[in-house]
Amino acid sequence: MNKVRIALLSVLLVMLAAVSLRTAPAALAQTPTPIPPVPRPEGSTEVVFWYGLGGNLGNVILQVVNLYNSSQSTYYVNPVFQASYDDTINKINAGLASGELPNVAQIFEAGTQRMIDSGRIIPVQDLLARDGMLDIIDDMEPAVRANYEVGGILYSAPFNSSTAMLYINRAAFIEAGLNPDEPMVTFDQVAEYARALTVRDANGNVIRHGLGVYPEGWFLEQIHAIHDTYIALPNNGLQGERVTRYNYNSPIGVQWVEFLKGLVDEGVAVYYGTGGGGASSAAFVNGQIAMHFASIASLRGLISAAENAGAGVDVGVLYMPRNPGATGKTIVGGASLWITDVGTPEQQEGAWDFVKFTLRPEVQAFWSVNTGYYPVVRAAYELPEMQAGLEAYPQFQVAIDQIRLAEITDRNTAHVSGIFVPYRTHYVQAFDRYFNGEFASAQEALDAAVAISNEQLEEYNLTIGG
Amino acid sequence: MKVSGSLLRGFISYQTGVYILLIVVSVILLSPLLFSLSLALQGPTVAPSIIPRDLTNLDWRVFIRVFEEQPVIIRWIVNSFVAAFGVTLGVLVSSSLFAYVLAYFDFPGKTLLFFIALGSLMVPFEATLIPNYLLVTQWGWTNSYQGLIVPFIASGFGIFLMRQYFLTLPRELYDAAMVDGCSRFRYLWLVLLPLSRPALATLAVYTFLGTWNQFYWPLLVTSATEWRTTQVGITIFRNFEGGAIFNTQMAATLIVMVPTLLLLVLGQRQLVSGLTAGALKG
Repeated sequence: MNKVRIALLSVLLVMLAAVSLRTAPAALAQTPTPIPPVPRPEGSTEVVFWYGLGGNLGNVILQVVNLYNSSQSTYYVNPVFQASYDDTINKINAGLASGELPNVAQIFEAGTQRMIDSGRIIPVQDLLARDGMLDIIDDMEPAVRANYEVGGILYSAPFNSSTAMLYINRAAFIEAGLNPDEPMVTFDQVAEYARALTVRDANGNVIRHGLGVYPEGWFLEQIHAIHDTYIALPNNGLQGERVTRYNYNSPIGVQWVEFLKGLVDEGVAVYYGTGGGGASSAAFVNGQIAMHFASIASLRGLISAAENAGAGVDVGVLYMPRNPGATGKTIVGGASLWITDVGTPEQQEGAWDFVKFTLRPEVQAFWSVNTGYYPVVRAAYELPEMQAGLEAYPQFQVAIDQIRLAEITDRNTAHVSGIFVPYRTHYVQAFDRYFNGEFASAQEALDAAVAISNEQLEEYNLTIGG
Repeated sequence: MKVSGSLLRGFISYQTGVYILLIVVSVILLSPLLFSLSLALQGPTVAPSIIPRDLTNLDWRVFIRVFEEQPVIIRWIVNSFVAAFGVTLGVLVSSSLFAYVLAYFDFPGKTLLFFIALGSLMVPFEATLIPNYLLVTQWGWTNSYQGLIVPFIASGFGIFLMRQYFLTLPRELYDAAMVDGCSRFRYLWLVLLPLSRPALATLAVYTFLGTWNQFYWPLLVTSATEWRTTQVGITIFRNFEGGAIFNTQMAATLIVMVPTLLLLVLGQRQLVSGLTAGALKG
């Protein structure tokens, strides 16, 4: 027993000694100059802000809060991290019964319907109208604005918005004689690219696959939006009427899944399974796959990882693939800031003041440059720091162009549903089961998933009392 | 000579075999920890490998960065300790007292009481979550140790475990003590509890770890950063949008594990002797 204890303690000691040696860290991605927190000013009103974005991006949120707190002394925003987007909405659900709610909350779009149904929300549009600031809405990125407008009312202030991209290894494209500079691609082209980019050794073993595949509900939504198809009926829930059924067993939904499955079966794409996004990005930056689907917010992380990996991967982006003649565009995903009616009138004013601050072009430019999300107001693009950011990351311009490809319609805007998170799980499970051979066709798999989704949707609508 | 030589060799190879087996098993058991350490030391990358590619260039500063980014992590560890100790102590006291009554005294409604205690095992945590939460908020116990501790200080499982254990001890001990004029409380304190150390130790470890690992309840009843427990607190290191980078997350996880590991290492003798004490008594 003693030996074990001594051994364990010595391991700990070695670790401590190693820490104190402070070995030089690897060349790391540069972190922005941090903006330090300021102490709460005497007599200021406290505004409680719940947010669900952790890690490096959460650190930038804290800097935005610090910027706000140091810009004035009437209000003091107290940021409280709530573990994740899911946990934030769960905590709000519980808080609805007890009144323990924040003044401002960052909620992902999957929570939009739930927040509206809570009845504790002050729509941002009302406050903008009161202060004569509706021109801010006109300046908002149309795709972003549409994402948080339900029944013609902007309920929350968009904060972090991104879209999905097809990441490519430009070096591999050039080597294979493909054009990495034409972002608009069809399914057939991507299939051709995947074949051309797949490299085999002398024994026929694949060294590099063309494409990485993993199930993700957000991509399914993108494909529907690109092809002007509602994913949920009626009207993606955007006309003030709750959706009553899902539609992702549509021809385009089936085509998307069959397209990916076909490439995997052909041996030119590799399937990473449920939650395989991480594995796929790792393979991408190491040059083991040449194309990879991910959010534009991943751009900086992928570029710096590719540099560190040293496999000669040159990160580029293309639009999400489409059928010839498709006229839609990708949707925007992310989170927005909601103002609640809890607390004193001063606190509510403070909450609004903080949200107004986040909509300023210079704050949006700071946010965008340090994270990789879109600025939600277009005025931000005119600022020098934003232009410098675009120069450093020309790939980002492709992402901006992609969400401006088409006029905004309900068909190419993210849907609103009470069972947003569960529906994605149903889809992901069906996708995975099809890839594992449990279904004969994508149609069969998606039909089964839609049946479960619709059942839960009906239950939600009954419970909430539509 | 020949025979004993081959015996010796046989013994040595047997020993080597055992050690190789033990090493293999311990590597398997430790692999999640080693993997976390490996991820922590590879810097902020979305593409870590299982074993760091460059062993001379490890980012040990990541552990310091965890404390720099969230100095409050020390407070989270303290919170977790206070809550887990509080709940464990409460469960040990309440379970022993209740089980003592159930095992040694006869009174009307005893069976009913026992079944109520057992019945509480059948009600899932999720069902009592909201009522508990409403009560705790109404009492103003959010962001407090009592909010983290009080809802868990009685446990149906603990009562059941202790009652069953008490019943295995000879009734004659109790009768003899009573004949000698021992008070009931003194019997519990001086005879019953020392004899029940194995059961108490099991219950204590089970309760401590269960409370230490709680996530949803602490998340609900704390809404200030300094009142979080470790499990809720360290989620702040998780990157999930814009690329999964694991280094600080894994470093923070390892840091919050150290106190429980130390407790285990230092308390192991107590625990093991407690368990074997019961086994040897036969």
